[in-house]
Amino acid sequence: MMDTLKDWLFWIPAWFWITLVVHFTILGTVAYLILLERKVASWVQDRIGPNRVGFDFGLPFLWFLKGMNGLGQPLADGLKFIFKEDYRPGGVDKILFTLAPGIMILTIIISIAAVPWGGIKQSTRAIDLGVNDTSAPVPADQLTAAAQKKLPPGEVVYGVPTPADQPGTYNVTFRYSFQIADLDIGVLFILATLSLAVYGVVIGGWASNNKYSFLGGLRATANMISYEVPLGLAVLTIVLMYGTLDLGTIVEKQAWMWHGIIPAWNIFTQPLAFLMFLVCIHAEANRAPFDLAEAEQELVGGYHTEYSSMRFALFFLAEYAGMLTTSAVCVALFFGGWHFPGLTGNTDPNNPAVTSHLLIAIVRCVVFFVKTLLIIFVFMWVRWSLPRFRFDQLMGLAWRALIPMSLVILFATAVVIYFFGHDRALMRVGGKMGLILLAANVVTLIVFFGAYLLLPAPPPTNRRIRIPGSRFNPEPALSA
Amino acid sequence: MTSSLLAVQLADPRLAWAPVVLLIIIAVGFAVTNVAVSILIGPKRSGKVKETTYESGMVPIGDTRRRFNVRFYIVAMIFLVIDVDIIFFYPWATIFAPYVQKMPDKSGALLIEMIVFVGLLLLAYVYAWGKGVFRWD
Repeated sequence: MMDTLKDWLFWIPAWFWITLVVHFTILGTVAYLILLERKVASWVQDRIGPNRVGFDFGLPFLWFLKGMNGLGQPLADGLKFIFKEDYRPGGVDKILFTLAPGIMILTIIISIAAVPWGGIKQSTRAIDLGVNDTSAPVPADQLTAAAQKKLPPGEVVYGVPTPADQPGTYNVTFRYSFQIADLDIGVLFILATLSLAVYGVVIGGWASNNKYSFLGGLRATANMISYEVPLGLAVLTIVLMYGTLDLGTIVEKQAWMWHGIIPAWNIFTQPLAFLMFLVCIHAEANRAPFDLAEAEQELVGGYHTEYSSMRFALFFLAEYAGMLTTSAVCVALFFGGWHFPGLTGNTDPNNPAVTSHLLIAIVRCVVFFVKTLLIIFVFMWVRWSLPRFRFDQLMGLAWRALIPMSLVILFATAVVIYFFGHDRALMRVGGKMGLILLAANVVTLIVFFGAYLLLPAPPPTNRRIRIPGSRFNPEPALSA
Repeated sequence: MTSSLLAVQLADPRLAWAPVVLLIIIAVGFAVTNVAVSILIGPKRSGKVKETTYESGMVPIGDTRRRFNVRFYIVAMIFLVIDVDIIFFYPWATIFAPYVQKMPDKSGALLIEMIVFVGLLLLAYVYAWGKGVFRWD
């Protein structure tokens, strides 16, 4: 009985468990991110922040769970959302109004799929394949159907026949990635799904039939699509360096040290691309200083003004989950993913991602997660420190600065790879090549600031329009 | 140790998308359940004033769905043009580094193709700049 159960569990592929664990961890984290945001805000503004709600539910015998420094707040907020009226004002487009939060949360949840949390786990298991001839290698296509069925789903690397006492039994070694979906176009997948979130925003804004929502939706759309272009280009510089769209491979190739001391993370080779990426993910998440879409002073709540109850909560969750995904991508592209010197085991230069210890895989996930949380902390720090831009400044930054700059950095990276990438570009961008890329980044930045000095000064924004006929404007007043 | 190996059996590449399907199901379930529960549990009270669109407490003036600033159209159009161009960069970026390493004599042509492409893109970009597409003030 136990054996049957064990076999049956073995047959559920690893990705199933990973998907469940990652999904619920992400949702739990997102709930606590909202608490963290409030805590960071209160820290920045020198006040205490939420510190009342614990897990005592008002019951006297649970006195020891009272307070907890506000840790019960997310649970209380979630319950309150559920118990609120799901209200839909008159005049809305009923179908689209209902669909919008769903689209938003759906795209954000599936975008987490391609994040490589913990490298590749390798396991070995003795399996009776029913093949009697154990003297020679057995090609996979010659295995009997029964033997095929006994192999675990996924990539089987090799099988070694066990000693003679168990004929037909192989020690089969197989590998699976510690991520939800090991897609070879992971980068493209994440960019595509994240850009679909625009539909949630624009549909929600339009369907509400509210002027604030409509303007907020328009602004958010313009903002998100504008910053998608430099975002894609900044990601392209990293794709260009490694020649792959697989996030797992990109992380794997950063998992080593230059001269044994500096981690070979892309933050050190492509700092300019990293800065552009960071700015773009702030804009994509519609967060301060780019949160023109929900500028409270002008637009009340932006595109979700008319939403209440759980539908509003879905928008809210999607915003924070999107932040989590983009931060995770940032960590994978620029901060070496799960790699941390001395902690993540396996320094085998040819195959740094493969580990056979479950503990190391879990430590890698923790390292990745902590790095992601640090990026999210930067998000919050920025939000509570910087004032909001004007809309023309927002669009100007994307179209007049970031897009040409990212095109030039892409071009510079291509030239560097063309001239210096012959020996080690594919496997590793390190040593001399890393220094040259760093120099290319710095030169690009200097050239750009130089070029902006040469450009003709733009006409002053916020022009004063003097009333014709007044003492400031000699023009005669317009006759009505 | 006898190293009689089973051949490498690669997973079906289509199988890699199975978790995405699972996630879609989970996400749809999550959204539908949450909204359904709040509809079932939450109170339902309505009224003429509550039905109106929120406009800072005023009686709403006119309809929302009317003409809006043409700049939003222009930025959407220029986004389409440039973003489609960037999609064309992806296959190029994926093969460039392997080409430089394995076939250096052919990679020069790849670089020149990209320079021409970026040049055309920049030409369109400068034209759009000159036409005032990027001016929002």
